[in-house]
Amino acid sequence: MFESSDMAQLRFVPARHAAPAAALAEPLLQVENLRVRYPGAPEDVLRGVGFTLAPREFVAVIGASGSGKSTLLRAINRLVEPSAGSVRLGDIEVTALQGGALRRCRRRMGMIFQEFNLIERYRVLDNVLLGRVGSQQALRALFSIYPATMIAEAAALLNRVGLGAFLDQRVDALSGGQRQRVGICRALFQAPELLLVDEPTSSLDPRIANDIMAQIRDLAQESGVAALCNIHDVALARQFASRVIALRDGIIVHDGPFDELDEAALGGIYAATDRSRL
Amino acid sequence: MSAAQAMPGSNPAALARWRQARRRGHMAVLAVTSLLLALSVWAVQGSVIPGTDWRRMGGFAEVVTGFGRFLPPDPTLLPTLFEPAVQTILIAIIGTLLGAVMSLPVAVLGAANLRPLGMPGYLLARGLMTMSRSIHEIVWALIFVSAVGLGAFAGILALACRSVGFVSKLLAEAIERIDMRPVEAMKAQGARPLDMVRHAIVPQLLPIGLGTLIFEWDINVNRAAVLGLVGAGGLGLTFHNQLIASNYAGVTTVLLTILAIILVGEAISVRLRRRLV
Amino acid sequence: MSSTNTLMVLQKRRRRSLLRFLLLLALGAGLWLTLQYLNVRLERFATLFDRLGTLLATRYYPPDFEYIMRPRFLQSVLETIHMALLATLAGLLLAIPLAWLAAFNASPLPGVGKSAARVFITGARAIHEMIWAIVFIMVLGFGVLPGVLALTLGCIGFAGKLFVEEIESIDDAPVEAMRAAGAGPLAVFFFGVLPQVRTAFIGIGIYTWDVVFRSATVVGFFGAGGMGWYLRRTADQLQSDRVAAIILLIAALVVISEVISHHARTALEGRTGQRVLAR
Repeated sequence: MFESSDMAQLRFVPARHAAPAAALAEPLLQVENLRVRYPGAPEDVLRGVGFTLAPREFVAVIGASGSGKSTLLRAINRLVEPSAGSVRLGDIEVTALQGGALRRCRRRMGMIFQEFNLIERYRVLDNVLLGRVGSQQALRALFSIYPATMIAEAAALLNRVGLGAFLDQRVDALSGGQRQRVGICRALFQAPELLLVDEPTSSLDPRIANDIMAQIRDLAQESGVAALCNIHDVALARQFASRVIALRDGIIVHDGPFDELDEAALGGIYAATDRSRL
Repeated sequence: MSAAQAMPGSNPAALARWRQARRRGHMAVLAVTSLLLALSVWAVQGSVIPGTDWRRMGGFAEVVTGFGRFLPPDPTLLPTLFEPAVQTILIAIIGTLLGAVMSLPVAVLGAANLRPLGMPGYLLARGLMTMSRSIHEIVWALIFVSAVGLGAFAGILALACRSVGFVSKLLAEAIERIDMRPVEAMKAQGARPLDMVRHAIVPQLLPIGLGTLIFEWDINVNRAAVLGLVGAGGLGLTFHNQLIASNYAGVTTVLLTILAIILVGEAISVRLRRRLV
Repeated sequence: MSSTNTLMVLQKRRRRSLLRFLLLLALGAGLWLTLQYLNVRLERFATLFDRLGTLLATRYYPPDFEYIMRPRFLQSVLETIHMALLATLAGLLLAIPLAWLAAFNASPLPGVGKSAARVFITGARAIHEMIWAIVFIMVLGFGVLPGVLALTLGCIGFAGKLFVEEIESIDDAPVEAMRAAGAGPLAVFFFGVLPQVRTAFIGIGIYTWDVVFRSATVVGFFGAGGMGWYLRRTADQLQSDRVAAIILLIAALVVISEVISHHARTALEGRTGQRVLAR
């Protein structure tokens, strides 16, 4: 949405999802007993994970490498196939969807990747517009033919993260932090209900990690989008999320406020991880 | 660039630039597509329409029935194909071997880091490589048939000449990439040139050389079959005979045999080359 | 203790050298037998250079350049170019979706679709275009159309294989992103795969033109249109000076085409900074 037809005054006004204020509202995401085993692997990577997410909640997921963080995120939107368990988005069982229905469900979830996963040779604006490619004809999208309102929306979103002047730049001319912000815009442009964020700052200069996390959290809050965010750096996670899920060797060992997570438990999560799973 | 705030007003400029870039892209696509379309129309009108025997072809139905005559293949022909198949494979092997032998001096001459005969030698080698690749194996076969008559010999020579281009090119590239340190070490020892070649250079080239040979052999089986059509014997000759007799099923059988041999050859080729590298 | 070891090592080495020697001997014998079986008379090899030399000097020289200037022949040269053009365009156009179907990592129809596409590409490549040309001639009669079809199949086989290799080597990050955004298979291909392979595909296309053009010059030998037909006629009638002229022309055309392609690919590499000249 953009206010004012005067393009010089484009501001991004986030679409607010009509979610009831009560905390006991129907959960947005329900994960139950989720198990994932990669083909040919001797053991499950995720061994019965379960939790719920309320609308607009911002949850951090921490855990050592190999604990299953990435797999968890990808199992939710089925980029990786769960071998057992259930994932419900609203009242839809994600694990039971096929084909077009699965794609429609994925459009409700925006993913932000560790390595940005952008199309390097395309321009910034085109990358963001691809967030809604699911609802556009592929051929038109190929020639960058989108409705003018869509283009304005995407431009406003980019303006909001400070990349307004870089609309027409090719992504491979941008720095890491800038690329990630493009990725953030692409995910938000989908107008999703849930953000799946996979270690957004691990490939970036640590000095800008804070800025990026802040943008993700702020934008998510403004748009009323829930977020499940993998973060490797626990201090960073503590800064931006009030609730943390800790994964260790494929199972959840903690799910709740940060304060209840003490140093000893943290040590347990990151130390002595089953080496064979790395 | 740090996360600087976008200045109001810079956004619409960027948007305009984006629109311009998009338009340029559209123009380019339109131009290329029009060019290709024009070329196609020119080609179809210029050659395909006047150059095809439309009456003989008949309508769509006739064409389909025509293709239908190729099936089912004639299995009774298979036993008679064994010997020609062996001939074709052997011609391919010997042709490749001869080509390999011929490739060695060309590769050495054409390697940028050796150049035993200097620039003229290098250019000559590169020229030979190009010539070998540019002249179709059938043309080579014609040349040799007029020199040594019909038969396997002409086919072998044609294959050899055709293979030299590819094999020597890859060999030359491999030579240009070798690790000179073992050569240096042997030179410091005072080893003879022949020993240097045998112990320092050849082992480095062997995997690539053999891999290339196996690869080229597989292609040469294909070529050998075709050369049979111009008199080199083997499956090509059988194909020709079936063709003359208008024996469609027989033609299919020979085709399938060639296909089978090539597929098997390719499988062997892939496996062997993997074990070499 | 070490002396027995040394003895064993020496024995093994001697055995290996012996084996190698025997292997070479066997190969040599095999070679000899094969040559006998194929009726290759090696004495001919000795006189080969002599005979070739005489041929080149007397029968092939001077080449009959006047023949290749005749309008009918020049028309056939144009025909050859037309055939190569159409076959390359059609072949590349068809090879792209085929390669998409056949790629392990990006096929929209993994399973039957992928296998069928792979079989088609391999089959198209495994049979020589000349043979395809003859097959098409058997059904469609002599002329340009069978030639174009045969060359198109050859093009699909050649370019298709290279296209598949290229697709299978892409980074799947953009593909993942497109799938995560809920894009359909076509969109995943357009935006996940195509931008990464676009330059390489163009390079492969240019390289394929060379190969197709080379075949187009000769496919007329069996009646499929183009200048190959005149090669056949003059060869049959033993008009070696004309054969020589045609061969020289073919060589010249192919070399010119290759030089242009090389420059085109170099320019492409320069503009995009991607390796296009690898083959």
